Amino acid sequence: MNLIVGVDIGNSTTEACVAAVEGGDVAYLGSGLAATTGVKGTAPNVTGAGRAIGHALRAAGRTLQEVDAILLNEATPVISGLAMETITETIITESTMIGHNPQTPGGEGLGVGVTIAFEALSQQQVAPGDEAVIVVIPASVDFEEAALVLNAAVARGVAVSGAIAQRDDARLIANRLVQLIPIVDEVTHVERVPLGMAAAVEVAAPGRTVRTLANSYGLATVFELTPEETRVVAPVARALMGTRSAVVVRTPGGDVTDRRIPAGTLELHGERAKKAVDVNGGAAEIMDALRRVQPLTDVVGEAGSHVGGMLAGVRETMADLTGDPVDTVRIRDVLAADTFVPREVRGGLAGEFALENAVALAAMVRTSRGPIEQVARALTEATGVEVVVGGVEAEMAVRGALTTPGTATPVAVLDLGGGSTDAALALGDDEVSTYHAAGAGDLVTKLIGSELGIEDRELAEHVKTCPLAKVESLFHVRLEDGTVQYFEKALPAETFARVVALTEDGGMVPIPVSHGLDRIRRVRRDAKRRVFAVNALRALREVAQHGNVRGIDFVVLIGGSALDFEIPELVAEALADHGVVCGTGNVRAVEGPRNAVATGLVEAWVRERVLA
Amino acid sequence: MSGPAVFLHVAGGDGTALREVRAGLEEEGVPCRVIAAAGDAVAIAYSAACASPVSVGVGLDADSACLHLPQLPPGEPLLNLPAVHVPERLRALGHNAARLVKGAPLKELP
Repeated sequence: MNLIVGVDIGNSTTEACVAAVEGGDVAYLGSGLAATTGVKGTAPNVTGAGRAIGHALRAAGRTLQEVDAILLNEATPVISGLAMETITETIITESTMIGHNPQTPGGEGLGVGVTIAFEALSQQQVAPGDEAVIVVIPASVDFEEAALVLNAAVARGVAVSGAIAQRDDARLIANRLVQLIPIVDEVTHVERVPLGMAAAVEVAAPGRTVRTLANSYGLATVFELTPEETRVVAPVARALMGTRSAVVVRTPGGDVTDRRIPAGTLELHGERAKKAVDVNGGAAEIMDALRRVQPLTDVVGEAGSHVGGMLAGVRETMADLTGDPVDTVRIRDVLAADTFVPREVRGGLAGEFALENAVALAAMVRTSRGPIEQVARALTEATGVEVVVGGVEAEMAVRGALTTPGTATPVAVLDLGGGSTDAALALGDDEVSTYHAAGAGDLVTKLIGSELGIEDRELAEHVKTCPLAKVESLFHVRLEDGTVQYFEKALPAETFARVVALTEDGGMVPIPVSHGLDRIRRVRRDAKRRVFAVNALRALREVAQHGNVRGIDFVVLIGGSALDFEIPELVAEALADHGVVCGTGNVRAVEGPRNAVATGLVEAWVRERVLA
Repeated sequence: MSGPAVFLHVAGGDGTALREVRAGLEEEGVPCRVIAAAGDAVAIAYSAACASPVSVGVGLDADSACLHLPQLPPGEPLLNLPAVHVPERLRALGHNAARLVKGAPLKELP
């Protein structure tokens, strides 16, 4: 009898399984996994491999001394990188607008006038019969004092048509006024509001949004603009759409520009053709061009443009990781995804955000072969056990995936990982075609983070991997499927009325964004679809005969992202249109989508010995 | 007078704390009822919460303010501001009392 250990070093996890082999019979005794240490295929991997082996042996109740051989896979020499670049930017020169949603604006309606400081009004510097005024109230002024001064001014015959307040007290002031005016509050940088300028304040009724200021011609009417000037303020109107309250201050020479940053062109070099594509055209155009030049040999970005810098960055990171010279790094696959990024508007007064368009790119780089032997040598030294390098990763994955009950060749295996989505199609016994598509779990995390404006990567990861719930009271939450869960102990106050991610250990992580549950859920599912559904089809098309996905009968999903609660479902949905049976693998009927390659190594080793 | 209102039980104090808490509630548009009481802030906040038709109570004594719910253990209020004389914090307590009723995320205390 032999005791052998199969080890699979992946981009993010290292998996191991322990098996006792007696002739042609294999008994799996245990398995384990650990985080991969260092870049896949390099000597630092030994630490992680040692840990995974240790876990597996402990689960099997065996010791390292009893092990006869460790099997290591020929790691796929691909690693991936990510980059994201915004291609539009909204800039306000000389602050001209405030468009935000304070929870409680005061009053209602539209007020037009000239901005003046609160002190100017309280010191009676405005006379009756002067132009109508918009009063700017700093935080130092109490609401009762503000109301008193405003009422006194109105009594003197001054036309007060609106107010802008720094504190959260618009409704308190409005409740004390004899004459109803719109008041916008919580304007953080109230000191930046230019004084003596024509301005308009609008507050919509509850549940409604501003109408005049969110309409270009409304702005033109209020400020008596010429057609040329109207063209200039159109982006202001667009930025104010959907808000309940808004302020627009017209400053001479001030305007909002909504310009497209020249993002540059992407040059795709194929084996037979070459194609340049403008990044501003968006993801669809890039992916279309890519399909035309396949197989891809390299991608370069236009020098001096955003995309040029983006790809140079990816290349440099890859060169650093692998130790290869930068000019030998070749990008063998890219995945482009359209996205949007909330960016604080430059020159805004209340921390407004504008959604800017962006393109996210995942790139796959082929590294030079060879260093797996170094890993094997180092692992032998560390464990004192003979290490056998055998088998191409994709073939091993297929072999392992075939231990899933109900599968048979021809079968395609989709490995949904962190950095890449890999497809392997087994036609007969030893014939396996493979494709490595750039973009997987890490890109999903990045898209979710940027679209929701979450900078904390761990939080974005929670949003990706956990179902959501809305905390409706301190004692109950409504889950995203509509069911309600009650708690006997009060939930933490900071989760109250917020959307939370339900972690696997029963924890609740509040998501500090203003979006509702439905919006967050949609962003999450769209990100997964744009990466995994797109990549599954792309990778299968590359491995299928004549690029015909319909010719594939069975698809088995494996890899870390196949453990996700909805990714397998989204991929299956995308493949259903092509008449493919798709499901999550269950390696050896117990491991789920994990441990496929490690298991495949053992299976291959046994088969070789039996045949010999 | 009855109807949906946050109950404010007040035992002492010079009225400035009461003014801020009420301002916070008013800004949120949630009505409140002020009732004279005796006892420490935590205890009267709890009795206010139990009496309030919307199950939110605030207790104010000479030097502290407390926000309570009847579902919580009497000795463990949701928010307790002992010996505070910071108007912004008291205003935020008022906001939060209202937001508990409205089901809106709570304000962070300044």
